[in-house]
Amino acid sequence: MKQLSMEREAEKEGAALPEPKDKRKKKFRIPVNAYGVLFILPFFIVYGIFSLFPMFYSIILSLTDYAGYNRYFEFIGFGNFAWLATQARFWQSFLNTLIIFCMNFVPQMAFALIFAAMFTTKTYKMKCKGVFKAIYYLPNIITATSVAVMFYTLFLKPSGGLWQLLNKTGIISYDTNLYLLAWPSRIIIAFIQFWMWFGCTMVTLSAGILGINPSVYEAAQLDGASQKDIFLHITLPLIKPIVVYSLVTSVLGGLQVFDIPYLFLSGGPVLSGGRNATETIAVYIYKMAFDTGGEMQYGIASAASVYLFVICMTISFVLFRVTHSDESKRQRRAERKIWGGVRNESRDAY
Amino acid sequence: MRGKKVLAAALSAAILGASVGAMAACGDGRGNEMVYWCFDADMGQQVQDYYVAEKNLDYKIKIEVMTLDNMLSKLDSGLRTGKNLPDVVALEGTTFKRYIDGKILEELDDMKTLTSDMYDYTVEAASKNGHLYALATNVTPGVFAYRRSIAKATFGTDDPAEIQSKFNSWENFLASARALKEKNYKVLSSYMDIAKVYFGGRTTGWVDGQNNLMIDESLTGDVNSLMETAKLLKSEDLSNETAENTAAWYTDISGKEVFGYFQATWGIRSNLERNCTSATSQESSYGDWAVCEGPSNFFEGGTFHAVIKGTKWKDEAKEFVKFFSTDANYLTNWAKKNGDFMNSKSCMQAIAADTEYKNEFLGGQNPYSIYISAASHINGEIITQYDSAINGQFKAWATNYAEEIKPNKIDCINEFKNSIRGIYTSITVN
Repeated sequence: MKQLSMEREAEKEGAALPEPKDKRKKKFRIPVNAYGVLFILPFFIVYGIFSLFPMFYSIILSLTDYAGYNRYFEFIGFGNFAWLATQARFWQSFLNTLIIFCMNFVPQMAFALIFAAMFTTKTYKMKCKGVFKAIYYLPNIITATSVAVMFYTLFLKPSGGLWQLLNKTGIISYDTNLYLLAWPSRIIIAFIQFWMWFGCTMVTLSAGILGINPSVYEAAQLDGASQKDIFLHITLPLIKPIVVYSLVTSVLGGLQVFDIPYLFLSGGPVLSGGRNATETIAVYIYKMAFDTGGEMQYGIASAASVYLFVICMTISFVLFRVTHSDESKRQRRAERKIWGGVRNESRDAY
Repeated sequence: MRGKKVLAAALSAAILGASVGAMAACGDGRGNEMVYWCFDADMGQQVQDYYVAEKNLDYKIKIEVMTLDNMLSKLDSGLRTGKNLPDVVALEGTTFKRYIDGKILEELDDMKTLTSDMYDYTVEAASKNGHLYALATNVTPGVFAYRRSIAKATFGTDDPAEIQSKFNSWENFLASARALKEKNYKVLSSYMDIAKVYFGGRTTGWVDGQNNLMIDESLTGDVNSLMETAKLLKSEDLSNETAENTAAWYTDISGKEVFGYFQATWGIRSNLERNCTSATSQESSYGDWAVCEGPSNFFEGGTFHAVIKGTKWKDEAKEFVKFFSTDANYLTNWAKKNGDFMNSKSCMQAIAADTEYKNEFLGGQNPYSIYISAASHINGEIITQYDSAINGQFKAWATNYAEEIKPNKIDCINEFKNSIRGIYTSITVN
């Protein structure tokens, strides 16, 4: 406020000054702030057209009976939501999404942490770090289609290389077709996700570890801490914000996973009760709306995406609250430890 | 500084311009040419060679070739919005049925007189409520293609008529399959290949007039049904247990073990001939094939031309559709050049009677009389718009039964019904 009033005064002073003669013609100048607006405008226009509008439009569509080639639709209230609530296939797709996410995220994080620690440790000089990092990151830049086709071919009975390996080593019999069984199919999809994303997570975590002040490590080494202690008590707590970031982005990405499950087995194999074993929620939405030979049920698909939206929102909110409150709690706990439960105020008074 | 500001402003304007431009590009602005969409490069080429090059048209035809999936999704979004639609379109045999509707396509009723020379099922399938909406260019009856050398080694003959007598019913098919196994051959590469043949041989389609789900007895019965035959082929190890259109399935075409493939007319060239030479050993099965009708008649694919409702090129588009289903010169030349089976009884009979016509890949056989017989037995009334999805679900549960993942047949049928309930809201399942 103070600054503003000073600026105003300066303006007044400026206005009071007589105009120099040679500057009679006032030059048109774009105010500097307008550049800022101009720069952010493209993003907001593109965001508005391709994200915001479709989001609100699908909420509207979820309340209608829009289907097929009809260009007109009627509002039917929450009928689509009620219908979906009774569909075993729909809820199974949520369950599948969670199963596949958990099976891929836990090992992904564990391996990423181990490898990140290995690549950043100062005591052990590893050769060709860059090459290994690039190799681990590589699956992430291959297109999902190629990855899905490659893995499909590898586990295909009877010609797939890995299928033959499993068969020859006696893990599966000749009669086993992995793509007809729910759990093997899910495990393969989770493995593909793990394989594609762990390099990416590893690079993020490495960046987090490298951001830690080296003097902390030096102090720990001087105090005689082992590598294990340093990792558990210094590295891990200090990269927690990066881990939380990875967790949030992975959960949101994992809930919306579409490419690999759709391209790999298109949601199959079939389960009893009209359910499918690897059909994720995004695959269900796509199939309801656009699958060849389907009914093009845009209303129902929109309702399913609203469900997904609500769940994503809730989970983000919960994760945000949990990590946030955790931080302040930890601070309070640390203070209690140091000051023996004496409150801040009394400390100040002292 | 000013330079940077100008640059930044220009960049920002360029991004804006690009996004607006991208939006504008979605608009119309097609100019004065008739637009034709098709899903195969050959189709685009034939329009160029036989129509544009030979006819002195006073307008241009814009040929847009896309993959089938891409074309269908563009067509669907065009039909929903009424924008970005072609004037004339090539539809594909397994997915065309849902477009056969007066709201989507122009009626071709004035061409009904021309249909007497066409194969009945193509006309039945392209009609709704007494109106005709599309004309088929090629007809794609399915046949059983087999290896001559294996036929001689097992049955002592490779003559198509004699082999047909050993494969003319599912009972005989299984008996012959067992005979082949004794000589260490497999009758099929994938046992589920029989599904399309069974689907083609049904007497009732998947849904009736009131949209009730109907399951034909030939699929689920106790003797010689799809489920039972598949189970026997699996349990007695009579097939190579590959999956259709996978690498191993294609490799078997050039191998020495698999006896036959159920293929539609176009598949003889596109699937068998193109894959008859092994990529690794250079062994080839070229010329070692022949075709017979097999246990049941079916069709797979096919091209139907239709005129999009409300086009400003209605007359020209109709002329186009008519040409590719009736021009004797085009139909005969295309058939002889590519081995395709076209939608003209008279032209195809002429080729069948032509003693000089030989298909080298089929060991010099003229397959047209077999194609004619197969095409005339196909039932066009069983084709519904739900076929591709329902066929897929039925195959999935028939496979579960055959592989004994779910050994009870009644359970499998009930689960199949459940899956249809989860896919379609408009079909009543009892």
